[in-house]
Amino acid sequence: MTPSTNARRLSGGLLVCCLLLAGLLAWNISATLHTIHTTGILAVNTSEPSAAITISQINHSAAPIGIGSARIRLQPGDYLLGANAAGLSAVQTVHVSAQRDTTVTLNLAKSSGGLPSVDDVGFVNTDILVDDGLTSTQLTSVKEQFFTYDTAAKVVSLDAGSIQPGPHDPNSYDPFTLNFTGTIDSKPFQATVAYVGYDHAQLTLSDPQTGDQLYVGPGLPAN
Amino acid sequence: MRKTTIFLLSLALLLVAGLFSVRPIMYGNARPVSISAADPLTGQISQALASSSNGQLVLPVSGQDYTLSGITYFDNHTWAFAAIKPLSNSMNSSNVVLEKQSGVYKVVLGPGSAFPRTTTLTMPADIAQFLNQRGLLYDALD
Repeated sequence: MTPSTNARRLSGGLLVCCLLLAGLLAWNISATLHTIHTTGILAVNTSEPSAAITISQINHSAAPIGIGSARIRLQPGDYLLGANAAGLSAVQTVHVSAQRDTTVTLNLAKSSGGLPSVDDVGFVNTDILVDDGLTSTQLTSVKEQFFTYDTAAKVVSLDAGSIQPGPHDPNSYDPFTLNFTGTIDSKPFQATVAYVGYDHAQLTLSDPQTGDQLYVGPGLPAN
Repeated sequence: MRKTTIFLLSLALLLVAGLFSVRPIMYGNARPVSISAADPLTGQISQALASSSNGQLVLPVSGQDYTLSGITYFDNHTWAFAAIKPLSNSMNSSNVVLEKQSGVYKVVLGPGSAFPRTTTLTMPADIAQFLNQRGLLYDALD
């Protein structure tokens, strides 16, 4: 076998190799173009640079997609985005469409999930009720009843000078009462708290304009 | 002949390089992500357990890091409860409550071993009762 024959065979082998690689490359480009045309881009930003960002779908597992921010391609559909960082979290559903860019910003907060909580409500001047006779347990119950009346409330404010004890017969087991006015997110209310013992309190709210009853809390125990 | 060999060798190397770089170049900085099918709730619960540590994303996987037990649905599958049992020492046993919002379950309470009673104020009464019966509610001190 002469050197020129060897060189010819090498060239032939390389040519076959190149043709195979060119075919693979063409297939790769075609598959990538198909993916680009059938997916959408989801860009995620978070308020915490260290937030672990994940994504999932109903009846699917979760996948990690980045820390702090992410940019990925997804098949069209509804997804659940999640981000967690040092006790803070955020979740949000997002719809991804083919060949569309979707940008989402996740603001991480301490309250997880999405359930409103009485802890998220700011109570102003409610501690004065303790000075006027309520126990702290009863005050907690009153706060929960305000929250039950309006779970979207942000600030419940009592008019400090409006708190007046209602009439009470010292020889009866009737509950004590406190009457006061205030606002829930700037909307005025008139309230009466009836309380017995150390644990039980009932909040009644009414509209100061019309006098219509807006809310009556759980009943007090019978004596 | 030698020139042809060198040309073909260069072409082959170029094609190999193109084979590996064409996808990253065409996708830009947005790589495709696919999510595998799994048991209901596992994806959402894994998300709630995710964390980052030293720049690394930690995502517990159902069947590998934990299992779910006691899955209970409420109110026509609008709400669900699940207990998380760890399969490794890196996690603690915990519980979660999920609510279906816009067709997707979201973890709205937990993961936690127990919850303040006030967190159930906006839940349907049957879930609050279920959690109470399992001893998962406590009265927070002021």
